[in-house]
Amino acid sequence: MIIVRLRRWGIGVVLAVSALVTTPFAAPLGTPAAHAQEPVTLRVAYTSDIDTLNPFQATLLVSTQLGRNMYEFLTINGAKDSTPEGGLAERWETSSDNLTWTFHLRDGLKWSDDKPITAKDVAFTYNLMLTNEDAAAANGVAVANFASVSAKDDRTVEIKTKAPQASMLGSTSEVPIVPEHVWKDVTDIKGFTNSEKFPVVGSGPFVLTGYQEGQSATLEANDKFWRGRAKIDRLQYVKYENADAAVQGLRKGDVDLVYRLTANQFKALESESTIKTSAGNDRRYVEIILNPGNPKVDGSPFGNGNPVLADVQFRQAMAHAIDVPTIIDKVYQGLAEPAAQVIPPVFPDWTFKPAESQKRGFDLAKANSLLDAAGYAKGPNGIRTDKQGKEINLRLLTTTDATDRQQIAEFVKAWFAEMGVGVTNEFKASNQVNDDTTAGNFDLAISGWSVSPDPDYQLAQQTCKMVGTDLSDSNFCDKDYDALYAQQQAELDKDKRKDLVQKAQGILHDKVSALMLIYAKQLEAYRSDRFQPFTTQPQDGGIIANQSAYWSYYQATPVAAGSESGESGGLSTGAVVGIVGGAAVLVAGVVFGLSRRRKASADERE
Amino acid sequence: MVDLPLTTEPVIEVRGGEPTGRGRALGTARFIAAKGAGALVSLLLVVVLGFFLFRALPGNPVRAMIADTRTSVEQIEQMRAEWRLDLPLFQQFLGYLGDLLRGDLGTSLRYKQPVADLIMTRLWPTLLLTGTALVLSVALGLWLGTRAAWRHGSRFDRWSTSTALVLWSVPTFWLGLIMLMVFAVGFDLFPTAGMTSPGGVDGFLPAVLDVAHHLVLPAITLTAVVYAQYLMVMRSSLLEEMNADYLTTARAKGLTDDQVRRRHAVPNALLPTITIIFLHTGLLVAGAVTVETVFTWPGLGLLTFQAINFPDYPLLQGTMIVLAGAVVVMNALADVVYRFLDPRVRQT
Repeated sequence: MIIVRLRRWGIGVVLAVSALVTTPFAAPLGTPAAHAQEPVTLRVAYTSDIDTLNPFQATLLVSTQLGRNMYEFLTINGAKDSTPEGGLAERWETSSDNLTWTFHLRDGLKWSDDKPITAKDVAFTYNLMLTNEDAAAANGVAVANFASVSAKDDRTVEIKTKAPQASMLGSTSEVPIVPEHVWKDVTDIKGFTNSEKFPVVGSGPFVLTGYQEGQSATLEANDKFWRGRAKIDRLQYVKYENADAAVQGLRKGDVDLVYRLTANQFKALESESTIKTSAGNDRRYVEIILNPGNPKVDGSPFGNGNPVLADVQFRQAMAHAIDVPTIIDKVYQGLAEPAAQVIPPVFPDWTFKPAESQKRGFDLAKANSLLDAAGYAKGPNGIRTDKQGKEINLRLLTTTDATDRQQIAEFVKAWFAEMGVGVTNEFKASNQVNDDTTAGNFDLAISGWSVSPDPDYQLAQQTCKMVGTDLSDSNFCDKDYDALYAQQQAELDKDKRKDLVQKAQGILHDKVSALMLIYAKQLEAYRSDRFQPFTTQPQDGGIIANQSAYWSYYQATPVAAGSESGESGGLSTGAVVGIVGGAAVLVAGVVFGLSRRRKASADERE
Repeated sequence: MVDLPLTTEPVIEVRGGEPTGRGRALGTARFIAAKGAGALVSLLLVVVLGFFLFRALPGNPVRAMIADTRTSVEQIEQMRAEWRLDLPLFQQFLGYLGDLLRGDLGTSLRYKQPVADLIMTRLWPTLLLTGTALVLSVALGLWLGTRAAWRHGSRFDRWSTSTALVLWSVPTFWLGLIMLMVFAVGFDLFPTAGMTSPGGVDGFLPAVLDVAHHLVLPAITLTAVVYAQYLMVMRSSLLEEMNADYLTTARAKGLTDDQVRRRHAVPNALLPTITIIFLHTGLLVAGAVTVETVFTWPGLGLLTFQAINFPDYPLLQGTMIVLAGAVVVMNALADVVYRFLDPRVRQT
């Protein structure tokens, strides 16, 4: 019995442990001398998940982000405004029939193991994706229109497409190029984790040197990177299951960068002197999707949306009844921008710029008059009736895990009531909302998308053949839109394509494919005592984490040496012993005190 | 010196009728075999029920898979075919059962790794955290419970019992975050996440200390919220023994209060507590999702939780078998151990 022994040892134990404890605490933890040789490490907290580090299989955002730092791409989305620029390729040209693209690689490119990067590696990567289903899992869409890829010589790659492809550079900016000499031996692409042998041979600014599933991924600066070595020595992704804990980790200095904060967490960090916050314009938008009753591509009906949603005038009235500035102010505390269409302004070439006559504002009188004109008369209790004389009541689906969206739903209900349209708010688990929207069993649902730099993919989500699939944005179907989409897909002249993309989005806007709400901002915070401001994407007011490239981490610059404070190199062994001892002293003290008390009372009784 | 109890001890009577030698060994073997068979049937039910239950959950793994990525309608069809989601439910079940009989738990949809591997990597962190918390909470609970009962009604009893109950009722999430803010950030004593320092530590001893360092806060949090149940059970079962006649006998023999408690009262009061401990040990494998979430402890509970959100059917079924298996085995074990601990049970 521990208790008995402790009582015998009595004060002796307490004193001994106390002596042990005070020693390490006397010296400050992590003295500068001990960390003089410490590599400069940037630690990024992530709260989502890594599925796999195999770039052919990885689909989750953190995994693809790691891939962007481990491998260079043929082309890369620029820091300024995400316009594709040279990566491994320094220039490229297209044939006169627009079907053949020839990419010329830079001179002297090397893998991290010092072997040369050649056109054969590029051809190997693309051909693997074209011939192996498993290799196409993550980025198959990018090569879906490729007919063949071949290496003409060590520095020339030729890609032939089935049809002219305007989004070619968008595609080449999404596919990490892997080393043939490593991957040719991989027989089971699907089962290969790419985290069995370190360092993982790559060509990006960093090399993966360690991975602890569910905890952290460690990357070291790549000396062979063609742009030159990064200014930091090490990049670490550190897992936090809980965003509040991640914020605490930042305050303590266990991590240097935290992203996707809530508005409340963001505001709370603004006052910290060693922390700088950043609200960057993101490539995500939030909208209310609707079910306008368009049939699926095979002609079968899609779900049970309220028939009034098929009426463009009704949809226009709804668009007038949503006060987006109020949502931004009350729900997002000012940290969002009003959304115009599906391509956000971080992609200035493609974002929708409505003409003055197209602009719509919050105008309940206008909404009411539109509905009156369309023949939806108000019934006796103020609720409008549809053409069959039935009161109009719309189901609005919202996920329970997003409080911002629930607040929006409450606002919408109140505004729609003012134009005589009933709204039933249905808050459900996000999986349930997904099930219902994919099956078409809804009228309205709050939803959102993250958009790639090339507009093609996002515009494709609005075409007729997507209705009723997992991929449709808002189940929109319009012949004119589909024609414009197809045109821009094949238009290799960028200015002409820009014009087509504007027109296509004009149709979405005029016919109200969805009720656009906001462009989100990514709320981030970093240790300004350790790192200088990061390169954002877009450069002007963009995001740090989750870029469609590696700019922020590759160009990360530590604050000049000497002003370094609170280096988080982990605790020394002595400190750990001290801490464990500290706990022991507490327990011992309590035990000792109690045993004395108990002995005294036992004596009384005996 | 009033009415000394003598021959009414039930234990003595029981001993008189006890079978001896081979007869008893045979009975024990039959008893264990029956318990084992029962456990097997329970496990089988878990396998069947789990499969259909998870299929009834809302959610679509394809949708979760494509959440962050670009894909095509054709690829979605491929995925559904590969995951057998396009087959009728019963056929999916037969396929699953076939794999299971071959000892194959399948491949996780999300992590693309064998389910067995994923579970094994998460099992030991779970056992480390919950095991530590179990030992601490049982020791603390039994010790405080014994003292609280022995001096029931005293200030110590009131304080220890109410403290335990307050900690028991506090939301684990909240307590964890408070611990994190005070001890990890405020006093700067412990790390804020994980089981090891990012990237790990070189050397065996430093690595062990590193894990121990990360273990302190989650283990204390988990202990704080669960030790009350051991305290309360111990306290009430000891209270029941308090007025038993054999204690009076023991005191009459001239034993000290301490000896009476330790040698006579506690061993008898321990029996119900042991049952509770075994039952909870089974549940411990399920981990403590909330504590694991706050402290980013890479445990099995967290893995299960993530699998449900996806929903990652093979992973979910795999974890279900392991978690349910642990409970079933521990329950059977509790029955067996109880038989050895308490002679009275052996009779029935």
